[in-house]
Amino acid sequence: MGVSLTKGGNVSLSKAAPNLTAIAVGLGWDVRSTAGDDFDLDASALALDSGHKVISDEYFVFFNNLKSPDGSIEHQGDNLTGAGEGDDEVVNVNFAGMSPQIASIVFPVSIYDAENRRQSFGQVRNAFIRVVNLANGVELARYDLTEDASTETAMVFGEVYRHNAEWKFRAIGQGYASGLAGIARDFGVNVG
Amino acid sequence: MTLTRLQSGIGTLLFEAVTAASIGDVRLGCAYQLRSGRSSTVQHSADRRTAPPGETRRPILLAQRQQFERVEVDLRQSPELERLVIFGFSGNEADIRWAGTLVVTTFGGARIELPIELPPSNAVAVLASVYNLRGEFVLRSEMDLVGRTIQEACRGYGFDRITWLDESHPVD
Repeated sequence: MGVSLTKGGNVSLSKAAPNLTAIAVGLGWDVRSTAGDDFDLDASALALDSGHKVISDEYFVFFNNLKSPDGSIEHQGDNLTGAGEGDDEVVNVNFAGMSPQIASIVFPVSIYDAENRRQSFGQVRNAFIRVVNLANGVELARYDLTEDASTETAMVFGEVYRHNAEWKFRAIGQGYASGLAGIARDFGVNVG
Repeated sequence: MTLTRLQSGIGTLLFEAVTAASIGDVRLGCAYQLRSGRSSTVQHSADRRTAPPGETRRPILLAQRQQFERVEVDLRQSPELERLVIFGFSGNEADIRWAGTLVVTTFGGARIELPIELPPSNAVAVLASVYNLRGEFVLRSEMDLVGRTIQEACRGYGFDRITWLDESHPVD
Protein backbone atom coordinates (compact mmCIF):
# COMPACT_ATOMS: atom_id res chain seq x y z
CA MET A 1 0.00 0.00 0.00
CA GLY A 2 1.28 3.44 -0.90
CA VAL A 3 1.51 6.66 1.03
CA SER A 4 -1.85 7.81 2.35
CA LEU A 5 -2.18 11.56 2.01
CA THR A 6 -4.32 14.21 3.60
CA LYS A 7 -5.59 17.30 1.79
CA GLY A 8 -2.67 19.37 0.50
CA GLY A 9 -0.16 16.62 1.12
CA ASN A 10 2.27 15.53 -1.56
CA VAL A 11 4.61 12.69 -2.31
CA SER A 12 7.41 12.12 -4.80
CA LEU A 13 6.36 9.37 -7.17
CA SER A 14 9.85 9.26 -8.66
CA LYS A 15 11.38 8.53 -5.27
CA ALA A 16 8.74 5.99 -4.38
CA ALA A 17 9.39 4.15 -7.64
CA PRO A 18 12.74 4.89 -9.28
CA ASN A 19 12.59 4.46 -13.08
CA LEU A 20 8.87 5.13 -13.01
CA THR A 21 7.60 5.54 -16.58
CA ALA A 22 3.84 5.21 -16.41
CA ILE A 23 1.08 5.39 -13.83
CA ALA A 24 -2.59 4.57 -13.59
CA VAL A 25 -4.65 7.15 -11.73
CA GLY A 26 -7.69 5.44 -10.27
CA LEU A 27 -10.65 7.43 -9.04
CA GLY A 28 -13.56 6.03 -7.11
CA TRP A 29 -16.72 6.98 -5.28
CA ASP A 30 -20.01 5.71 -3.94
CA VAL A 31 -23.25 7.62 -4.07
CA ARG A 32 -25.96 7.77 -1.47
CA SER A 33 -28.78 5.47 -2.43
CA THR A 34 -31.62 7.59 -3.68
CA ALA A 35 -35.03 7.16 -5.21
CA GLY A 36 -34.43 10.18 -7.45
CA ASP A 37 -32.38 10.55 -10.59
CA ASP A 38 -29.39 8.33 -11.19
CA PHE A 39 -26.00 9.69 -10.23
CA ASP A 40 -23.38 9.79 -12.93
CA LEU A 41 -19.89 10.92 -11.99
CA ASP A 42 -17.21 11.47 -14.59
CA ALA A 43 -13.46 11.60 -14.13
CA SER A 44 -11.34 13.66 -16.46
CA ALA A 45 -7.79 14.98 -16.77
CA LEU A 46 -6.38 18.32 -17.82
CA ALA A 47 -2.76 18.68 -18.86
CA LEU A 48 -1.53 22.11 -17.81
CA ASP A 49 1.44 24.29 -18.66
CA SER A 50 3.62 26.10 -16.16
CA GLY A 51 1.02 28.88 -15.97
CA HIS A 52 -1.56 26.33 -14.79
CA LYS A 53 -3.58 26.63 -18.00
CA VAL A 54 -4.50 23.80 -20.32
CA ILE A 55 -1.93 23.18 -23.09
CA SER A 56 -4.75 23.22 -25.66
CA ASP A 57 -8.39 22.16 -25.67
CA GLU A 58 -7.35 18.73 -26.93
CA TYR A 59 -5.44 18.18 -23.69
CA PHE A 60 -8.74 18.09 -21.80
CA VAL A 61 -9.19 14.32 -21.63
CA PHE A 62 -12.70 13.17 -20.80
CA PHE A 63 -15.34 10.70 -21.93
CA ASN A 64 -15.64 12.28 -25.39
CA ASN A 65 -11.90 12.86 -25.85
CA LEU A 66 -10.21 9.80 -24.48
CA LYS A 67 -6.62 10.51 -25.43
CA SER A 68 -4.33 13.57 -25.39
CA PRO A 69 -2.71 14.55 -28.71
CA ASP A 70 0.71 13.26 -27.60
CA GLY A 71 -0.89 10.00 -26.48
CA SER A 72 0.53 10.31 -22.98
CA ILE A 73 -2.80 10.65 -21.16
CA GLU A 74 -5.49 8.11 -21.85
CA HIS A 75 -8.88 7.75 -20.25
CA GLN A 76 -9.72 4.08 -19.87
CA GLY A 77 -13.44 4.52 -20.30
CA ASP A 78 -16.59 5.55 -18.59
CA ASN A 79 -18.47 4.06 -15.69
CA LEU A 80 -22.02 5.37 -15.75
CA THR A 81 -23.11 4.18 -12.31
CA GLY A 82 -20.18 4.07 -9.88
CA ALA A 83 -21.38 0.63 -8.82
CA GLY A 84 -18.93 -1.85 -7.36
CA GLU A 85 -15.75 -1.59 -5.37
CA GLY A 86 -12.36 -0.35 -6.49
CA ASP A 87 -11.60 2.23 -9.14
CA ASP A 88 -14.65 3.54 -10.95
CA GLU A 89 -12.63 5.24 -13.66
CA VAL A 90 -8.94 5.11 -14.55
CA VAL A 91 -6.69 7.49 -16.44
CA ASN A 92 -3.30 6.19 -17.59
CA VAL A 93 -0.39 8.59 -17.76
CA ASN A 94 2.78 7.74 -19.65
CA PHE A 95 5.66 10.00 -18.64
CA ALA A 96 8.01 8.62 -21.29
CA GLY A 97 6.20 10.07 -24.30
CA MET A 98 4.85 13.14 -22.63
CA SER A 99 5.05 16.60 -24.17
CA PRO A 100 7.67 18.65 -22.28
CA GLN A 101 5.14 21.50 -22.15
CA ILE A 102 3.09 19.58 -19.60
CA ALA A 103 3.93 20.81 -16.13
CA SER A 104 1.07 19.15 -14.32
CA ILE A 105 -2.05 17.07 -14.78
CA VAL A 106 -5.12 17.67 -12.65
CA PHE A 107 -7.84 15.09 -12.15
CA PRO A 108 -11.36 16.45 -11.66
CA VAL A 109 -14.50 14.45 -11.03
CA SER A 110 -17.85 16.01 -11.91
CA ILE A 111 -21.47 15.08 -11.39
CA TYR A 112 -23.34 14.93 -14.66
CA ASP A 113 -26.28 17.35 -14.94
CA ALA A 114 -25.96 18.11 -11.23
CA GLU A 115 -27.83 21.38 -11.32
CA ASN A 116 -30.94 20.00 -12.96
CA ARG A 117 -30.87 16.91 -10.77
CA ARG A 118 -30.12 18.90 -7.61
CA GLN A 119 -27.14 16.71 -6.83
CA SER A 120 -23.84 17.57 -5.19
CA PHE A 121 -20.76 16.00 -3.67
CA GLY A 122 -22.60 16.14 -0.34
CA GLN A 123 -24.33 12.99 -1.57
CA VAL A 124 -21.08 11.27 -2.54
CA ARG A 125 -19.24 9.00 -0.15
CA ASN A 126 -15.94 7.12 -0.06
CA ALA A 127 -14.35 9.23 -2.78
CA PHE A 128 -10.69 8.60 -3.43
CA ILE A 129 -7.86 9.01 -5.88
CA ARG A 130 -4.90 6.70 -6.02
CA VAL A 131 -1.76 6.41 -8.11
CA VAL A 132 -0.52 3.00 -9.23
CA ASN A 133 2.75 2.11 -10.93
CA LEU A 134 1.61 0.63 -14.24
CA ALA A 135 4.75 -1.51 -14.51
CA ASN A 136 3.98 -3.64 -11.48
CA GLY A 137 0.56 -2.64 -10.13
CA VAL A 138 1.97 -1.28 -6.87
CA GLU A 139 -0.01 1.56 -5.33
CA LEU A 140 2.25 4.57 -4.78
CA ALA A 141 -0.11 7.09 -3.22
CA ARG A 142 -3.71 7.45 -2.15
CA TYR A 143 -5.96 10.25 -0.99
CA ASP A 144 -9.34 9.55 0.60
CA LEU A 145 -11.51 12.63 0.40
CA THR A 146 -13.27 13.24 3.66
CA GLU A 147 -14.79 16.69 3.45
CA ASP A 148 -18.48 17.28 3.12
CA ALA A 149 -19.01 19.24 -0.07
CA SER A 150 -22.70 19.94 0.02
CA THR A 151 -22.84 22.51 -2.78
CA GLU A 152 -20.03 21.43 -5.04
CA THR A 153 -20.89 19.70 -8.30
CA ALA A 154 -17.32 19.04 -9.37
CA MET A 155 -14.09 18.51 -7.53
CA VAL A 156 -10.42 18.33 -8.37
CA PHE A 157 -9.28 15.21 -6.53
CA GLY A 158 -5.55 15.45 -7.13
CA GLU A 159 -2.67 16.57 -9.28
CA VAL A 160 0.43 14.96 -10.74
CA TYR A 161 3.15 17.53 -11.37
CA ARG A 162 6.78 17.99 -12.31
CA HIS A 163 9.18 19.26 -9.68
CA ASN A 164 12.69 19.59 -11.05
CA ALA A 165 13.41 16.11 -12.41
CA GLU A 166 10.76 14.40 -10.32
CA TRP A 167 7.10 13.60 -10.77
CA LYS A 168 5.06 14.24 -7.65
CA PHE A 169 1.45 13.77 -6.61
CA ARG A 170 -0.56 16.22 -4.54
CA ALA A 171 -3.89 15.62 -2.81
CA ILE A 172 -6.15 18.57 -3.62
CA GLY A 173 -9.85 18.00 -2.86
CA GLN A 174 -10.97 21.41 -4.11
CA GLY A 175 -14.65 21.71 -4.95
CA TYR A 176 -16.37 23.73 -7.65
CA ALA A 177 -20.02 24.74 -7.77
CA SER A 178 -19.96 25.18 -11.53
CA GLY A 179 -19.55 21.60 -12.69
CA LEU A 180 -17.19 20.21 -15.27
CA ALA A 181 -17.68 23.21 -17.55
CA GLY A 182 -16.66 25.53 -14.69
CA ILE A 183 -13.48 23.59 -14.05
CA ALA A 184 -12.71 23.49 -17.75
CA ARG A 185 -13.17 27.25 -18.05
CA ASP A 186 -11.05 27.89 -14.95
CA PHE A 187 -8.16 26.06 -16.55
CA GLY A 188 -8.55 27.91 -19.85
CA VAL A 189 -10.50 25.34 -21.88
CA ASN A 190 -12.82 26.84 -24.49
CA VAL A 191 -16.02 24.87 -24.05
CA GLY A 192 -17.54 26.75 -27.01
CA MET B 1 -18.86 22.83 -39.82
CA THR B 2 -17.27 20.60 -37.21
CA LEU B 3 -17.93 20.97 -33.52
CA THR B 4 -14.96 20.20 -31.28
CA ARG B 5 -15.03 17.21 -28.98
CA LEU B 6 -15.82 19.62 -26.15
CA GLN B 7 -18.72 21.21 -28.05
CA SER B 8 -19.83 17.69 -28.97
CA GLY B 9 -19.45 16.24 -25.49
CA ILE B 10 -20.43 18.70 -22.77
CA GLY B 11 -23.92 19.84 -21.89
CA THR B 12 -26.72 20.09 -24.39
CA LEU B 13 -26.87 20.88 -28.10
CA LEU B 14 -30.08 22.69 -28.94
CA PHE B 15 -31.83 22.95 -32.31
CA GLU B 16 -34.62 25.50 -32.49
CA ALA B 17 -36.69 26.54 -35.51
CA VAL B 18 -37.12 30.28 -35.15
CA THR B 19 -39.92 31.12 -37.56
CA ALA B 20 -42.77 33.62 -37.71
CA ALA B 21 -46.29 32.32 -37.24
CA SER B 22 -47.26 34.02 -40.50
CA ILE B 23 -45.27 31.59 -42.66
CA GLY B 24 -47.36 28.61 -41.62
CA ASP B 25 -47.66 25.92 -39.00
CA VAL B 26 -43.99 24.88 -38.79
CA ARG B 27 -43.28 21.73 -36.81
CA LEU B 28 -39.92 20.20 -36.04
CA GLY B 29 -38.76 16.62 -35.85
CA CYS B 30 -35.58 14.60 -35.79
CA ALA B 31 -34.65 11.26 -37.28
CA TYR B 32 -31.77 9.54 -35.55
CA GLN B 33 -29.58 6.48 -35.61
CA LEU B 34 -27.84 5.27 -32.45
CA ARG B 35 -24.60 3.30 -32.21
CA SER B 36 -26.72 0.35 -31.12
CA GLY B 37 -28.31 0.41 -34.56
CA ARG B 38 -31.61 1.65 -33.26
CA SER B 39 -33.25 4.22 -35.50
CA SER B 40 -36.46 6.23 -35.15
CA THR B 41 -37.78 9.77 -34.86
CA VAL B 42 -38.74 12.31 -32.22
CA GLN B 43 -41.51 14.84 -32.88
CA HIS B 44 -43.11 17.01 -30.23
CA SER B 45 -46.30 17.39 -32.26
CA ALA B 46 -46.81 13.62 -32.37
CA ASP B 47 -46.03 13.20 -28.67
CA ARG B 48 -42.91 11.27 -29.59
CA ARG B 49 -40.66 13.24 -27.34
CA THR B 50 -37.73 11.09 -26.34
CA ALA B 51 -35.07 8.90 -27.84
CA PRO B 52 -34.79 6.08 -27.18
CA PRO B 53 -38.61 5.87 -27.13
CA GLY B 54 -40.04 5.81 -23.62
CA GLU B 55 -36.74 6.84 -22.01
CA THR B 56 -37.90 9.64 -19.75
CA ARG B 57 -35.20 9.55 -17.06
CA ARG B 58 -32.30 10.08 -19.36
CA PRO B 59 -33.16 10.54 -23.01
CA ILE B 60 -30.46 11.14 -25.59
CA LEU B 61 -32.85 13.31 -27.59
CA LEU B 62 -35.74 15.36 -26.29
CA ALA B 63 -38.33 17.12 -28.47
CA GLN B 64 -39.98 20.07 -26.73
CA ARG B 65 -41.86 23.25 -27.44
CA GLN B 66 -41.25 26.58 -25.80
CA GLN B 67 -41.74 29.68 -27.93
CA PHE B 68 -40.66 27.50 -30.88
CA GLU B 69 -40.33 23.78 -31.38
CA ARG B 70 -36.91 22.45 -30.43
CA VAL B 71 -34.84 19.31 -30.22
CA GLU B 72 -32.22 18.88 -27.52
CA VAL B 73 -29.28 16.48 -27.70
CA ASP B 74 -27.83 15.29 -24.39
CA LEU B 75 -24.13 15.45 -25.17
CA ARG B 76 -23.19 13.39 -22.16
CA GLN B 77 -24.51 10.52 -24.23
CA SER B 78 -23.06 11.72 -27.53
CA PRO B 79 -20.92 8.57 -27.93
CA GLU B 80 -24.21 6.68 -28.29
CA LEU B 81 -25.34 8.82 -31.23
CA GLU B 82 -24.35 7.90 -34.77
CA ARG B 83 -26.21 10.57 -36.75
CA LEU B 84 -29.37 12.62 -36.92
CA VAL B 85 -31.28 14.91 -39.23
CA ILE B 86 -33.52 17.77 -38.18
CA PHE B 87 -36.60 18.17 -40.35
CA GLY B 88 -39.43 20.66 -40.53
CA PHE B 89 -42.90 20.06 -41.83
CA SER B 90 -46.34 21.60 -41.98
CA GLY B 91 -48.58 20.82 -39.03
CA ASN B 92 -51.77 21.35 -41.06
CA GLU B 93 -50.64 20.17 -44.52
CA ALA B 94 -50.94 23.70 -45.93
CA ASP B 95 -47.95 25.20 -47.71
CA ILE B 96 -45.27 26.81 -45.59
CA ARG B 97 -43.72 29.99 -46.94
CA TRP B 98 -40.33 28.92 -45.67
CA ALA B 99 -38.30 31.61 -43.92
CA GLY B 100 -36.59 32.07 -40.59
CA THR B 101 -33.60 30.40 -39.01
CA LEU B 102 -32.65 27.08 -37.56
CA VAL B 103 -30.61 28.13 -34.52
CA VAL B 104 -28.11 25.64 -33.11
CA THR B 105 -26.80 26.51 -29.65
CA THR B 106 -23.91 24.83 -27.87
CA PHE B 107 -23.58 24.46 -24.12
CA GLY B 108 -20.97 27.21 -24.06
CA GLY B 109 -23.41 29.59 -25.71
CA ALA B 110 -22.06 29.57 -29.27
CA ARG B 111 -24.88 30.09 -31.79
CA ILE B 112 -24.83 28.67 -35.26
CA GLU B 113 -27.56 30.19 -37.40
CA LEU B 114 -28.75 28.30 -40.46
CA PRO B 115 -31.03 30.47 -42.62
CA ILE B 116 -34.08 28.60 -43.87
CA GLU B 117 -34.33 29.50 -47.54
CA LEU B 118 -36.72 27.28 -49.43
CA PRO B 119 -39.60 27.79 -51.87
CA PRO B 120 -43.16 27.62 -50.51
CA SER B 121 -44.18 23.99 -50.13
CA ASN B 122 -45.96 21.53 -47.91
CA ALA B 123 -43.18 18.98 -48.40
CA VAL B 124 -40.99 17.84 -45.54
CA ALA B 125 -37.79 19.88 -45.37
CA VAL B 126 -34.59 18.40 -44.00
CA LEU B 127 -32.96 21.44 -42.42
CA ALA B 128 -29.72 20.08 -40.98
CA SER B 129 -27.76 16.91 -40.41
CA VAL B 130 -25.27 15.86 -37.77
CA TYR B 131 -22.78 13.03 -38.11
CA ASN B 132 -20.71 11.86 -35.18
CA LEU B 133 -17.19 11.32 -36.52
CA ARG B 134 -14.95 9.95 -33.78
CA GLY B 135 -16.50 12.18 -31.14
CA GLU B 136 -16.72 15.32 -33.26
CA PHE B 137 -20.12 16.37 -34.52
CA VAL B 138 -20.13 17.44 -38.16
CA LEU B 139 -23.06 19.80 -38.63
CA ARG B 140 -24.33 20.52 -42.12
CA SER B 141 -27.06 22.83 -43.34
CA GLU B 142 -29.23 20.79 -45.71
CA MET B 143 -32.30 22.95 -46.56
CA ASP B 144 -33.72 20.22 -48.73
CA LEU B 145 -37.37 19.67 -49.62
CA VAL B 146 -37.00 15.94 -49.79
CA GLY B 147 -40.35 14.21 -49.57
CA ARG B 148 -44.09 14.51 -49.29
CA THR B 149 -44.10 12.66 -45.97
CA ILE B 150 -41.81 12.21 -42.98
CA GLN B 151 -41.35 8.61 -44.03
CA GLU B 152 -40.15 9.68 -47.50
CA ALA B 153 -37.84 12.31 -46.04
CA CYS B 154 -36.27 9.83 -43.64
CA ARG B 155 -35.79 7.26 -46.38
CA GLY B 156 -34.29 9.97 -48.56
CA TYR B 157 -31.60 10.44 -45.94
CA GLY B 158 -30.86 6.77 -45.53
CA PHE B 159 -32.92 6.00 -42.44
CA ASP B 160 -34.07 2.73 -43.92
CA ARG B 161 -34.09 0.71 -40.70
CA ILE B 162 -37.22 2.44 -39.40
CA THR B 163 -40.43 0.43 -39.49
CA TRP B 164 -43.40 2.71 -40.16
CA LEU B 165 -46.89 2.53 -38.74
CA ASP B 166 -47.99 5.15 -41.24
CA GLU B 167 -46.37 7.96 -43.21
CA SER B 168 -45.59 9.97 -40.09
CA HIS B 169 -45.19 7.54 -37.22
CA PRO B 170 -42.51 4.87 -36.74
CA VAL B 171 -43.19 1.67 -34.86
CA ASP B 172 -41.03 1.56 -31.74
